Amino acid sequence: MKLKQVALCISGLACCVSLSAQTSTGTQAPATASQTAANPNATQFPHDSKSPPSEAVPPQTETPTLWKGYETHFAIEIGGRALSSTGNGDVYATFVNLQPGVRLLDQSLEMHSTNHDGLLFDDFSESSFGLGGDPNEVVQLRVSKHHWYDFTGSWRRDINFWDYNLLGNPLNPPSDPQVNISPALLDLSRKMMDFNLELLPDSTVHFVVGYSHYNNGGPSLTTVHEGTEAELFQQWHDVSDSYHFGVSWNPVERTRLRYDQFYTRDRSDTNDYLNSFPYSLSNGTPVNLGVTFNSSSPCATPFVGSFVNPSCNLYTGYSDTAPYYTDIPTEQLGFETNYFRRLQITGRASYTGAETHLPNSTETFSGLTTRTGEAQGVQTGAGSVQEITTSADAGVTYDVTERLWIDNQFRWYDYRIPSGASFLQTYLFGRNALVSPNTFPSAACPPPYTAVGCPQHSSSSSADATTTDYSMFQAQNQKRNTFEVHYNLAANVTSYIGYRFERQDIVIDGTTSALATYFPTLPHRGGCTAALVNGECQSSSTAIDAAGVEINNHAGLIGIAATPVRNLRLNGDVEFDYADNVFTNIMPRHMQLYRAKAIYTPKKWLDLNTNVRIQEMRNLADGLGNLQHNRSVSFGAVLPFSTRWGVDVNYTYDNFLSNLNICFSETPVPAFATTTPICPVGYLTALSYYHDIDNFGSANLMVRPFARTTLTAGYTITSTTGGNLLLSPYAPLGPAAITYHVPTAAIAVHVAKRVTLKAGWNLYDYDEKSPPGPVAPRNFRANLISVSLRYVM
Amino acid sequence: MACHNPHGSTNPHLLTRPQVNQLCLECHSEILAASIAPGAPTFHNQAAQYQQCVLCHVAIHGSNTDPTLFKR
Repeated sequence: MKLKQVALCISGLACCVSLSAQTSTGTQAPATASQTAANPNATQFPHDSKSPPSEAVPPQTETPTLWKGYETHFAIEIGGRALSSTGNGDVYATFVNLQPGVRLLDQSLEMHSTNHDGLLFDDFSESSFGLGGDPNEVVQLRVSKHHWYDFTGSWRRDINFWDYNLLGNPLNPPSDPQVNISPALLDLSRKMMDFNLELLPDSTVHFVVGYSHYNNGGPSLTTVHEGTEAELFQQWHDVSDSYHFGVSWNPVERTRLRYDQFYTRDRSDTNDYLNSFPYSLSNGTPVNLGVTFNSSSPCATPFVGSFVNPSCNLYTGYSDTAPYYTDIPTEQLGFETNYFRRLQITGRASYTGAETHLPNSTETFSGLTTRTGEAQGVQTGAGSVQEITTSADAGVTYDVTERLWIDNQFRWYDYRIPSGASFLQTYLFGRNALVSPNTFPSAACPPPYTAVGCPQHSSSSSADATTTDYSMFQAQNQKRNTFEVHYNLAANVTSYIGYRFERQDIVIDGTTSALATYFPTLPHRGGCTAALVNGECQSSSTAIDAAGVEINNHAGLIGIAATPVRNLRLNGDVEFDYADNVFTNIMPRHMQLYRAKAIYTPKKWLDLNTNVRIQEMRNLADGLGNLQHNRSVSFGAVLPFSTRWGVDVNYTYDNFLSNLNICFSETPVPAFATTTPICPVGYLTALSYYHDIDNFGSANLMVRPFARTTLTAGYTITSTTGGNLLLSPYAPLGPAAITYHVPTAAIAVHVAKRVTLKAGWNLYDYDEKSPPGPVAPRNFRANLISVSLRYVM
Repeated sequence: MACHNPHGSTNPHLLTRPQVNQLCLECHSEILAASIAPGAPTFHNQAAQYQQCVLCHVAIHGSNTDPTLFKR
């Protein structure tokens, strides 16, 4: 939905900028055009959907000020927001997250030397928005000197808060303790810097140097599964530094050669640990009983009096650290030329040899897992991974005649990922958390190794010590060639027909070798049948997991573009795909894609556009029953009647369906499942279906009733219905059906020369149409008021 | 992109399905004679109260070392 809305906004005049108040048009609404341009990464998070109020009305234009030979523009907008909300505040923060407070909403400074005679620079521009606490803060800088250099830099910070209480929630029965926030909650802050300097941009040889820095950190929650599921505190710390050097050379006219060297170093030191111990054993040891409560979890009787039952599944400690770093050097060589008349050639090749090192990983557990008797566990290890990637592109376009040209594009992509790792796991076993687990060898456990001082194993206990070596390899080679013939059927009609072939070879090959040592008691457990040595049983095993697949994909392409009458432009294209194999069950073997677009501008004040996209996919072989479609229709109208008033209206309909048979295990057997021969023995079969119908509509109105006053009002609504297979009897209906209303209004009044007073109102109203399940409702309603003062010079 | 759809999902975490296990099983089902992706083992009871694939198999974006995409 996000892409559609951005596309509509872009096509809809400058509606997003000039007509809308703060536009948030769905559960994951788009970033505005300006935000998208400023921050391509911003669209990755749902809350990046905010527009600063500075864009609620058109900027006041002023004649530039001349200052020391520069045309100078300056604007600053300072204001604040007030928020009144009801309902689930965390979901509001997940989707919107515009909070109350004072903000430097927008500011910019532009300087331009019209004669290119500036001393150090000819052009300077600096701008920012959202500073002071908005979820997206951006500062951008550009400085250039004609013929000499062009420098761009940016600093951005995104706040990524996420709490959707259905995901990862144990959905405990109402009689047990409830978990009302997601055990996968995120509250991260991502800071990014980019600098790029281009030297001698207009000369035969010019250079580029660049640097980027990325820092993602903050707290989050996650879980671990031992005897029961415990909620962990997870502190993120990911840092990435990237360097770039490039040189470009124009050896002859209309020809450019380019070489680039990139180097990126990623470091991750994210760790997680148990930091909440709300209960205790009778000896005072703090205890965590996990988040899942029912008749058997963490056990039938978790408490004895006011203390935790020491024979229950429980945690007294858990931590996990696995810092790693990755070096990613890349060399790239490219060229483009149209030196020869009628012939354009492009080419690019790159090589990356990346290495990841995990020098020291440590996981510790203490508590009790009743099924296995595990009371303490430590896992240490190290590993390394390589990823060698080569890619190349080559393209040729030849103009056979004025009306006929042919185009061929070839792409090669290949990667290999060999890796290796070794881990040592050691465990101590017991039956009661109040009793220290026995060690071995020990004087308290003499032959025949059955004394009470020996380790207390059950038949389900794992090995006491296991060394595991992993050697893995995966690779993929992809070759794709697209050939097209384009022909101008008439002065106002162009068409093309083409054929695309793609071949993928995927290989997975892994070997896992393990040496397991089983101490007494019960040393012949876990399938260890070797003769005992000093009471111990040792077993070694090697498992090989190898697979490969070759996929050949053929596609026919045809398209036409026409302008049958003045101000009407039509485009249509069709693609038919066939693949002789698949890598995963959900991948289709047959695909048809139909696209059509019309743009009609019958009057200066009327701009109409419509898009249709229909994609049909299937793979009915092998009993998969894979049937999918994705159909969408959109319509937009922009009516800029005059500079005093205008309207824009948009509507989009999406219909997504996916049917696929799956194999799974479930006890007791649900009514929707059967046993069929398409799944192995022991599995059930069911049709995994997902149907989603989205309706999105928006309307915006701009009126300037007086010379100094601009009014805007808008309304967006997203309404979805649908359903999906609910595998778990605990799963609520979920968020398949929602409505999201966002009405907006704004006013801007030029109260004095260069000064504009602005005010805006947004209502965010999110409602799920289905019951929320045994957790807090996720609905929210928030009124956001923005007031600001803008000064331009 | 196979699991997340940033340009059209109305599901949590931009997933292409609202239920995580459904998403996992649509690739990891051992349909006989079909794709090569390994199926989910039989001891993963879908009726368990707290059983979402990604709670244990967290490293679905690339485990450094573990072929089953556990935490390491």
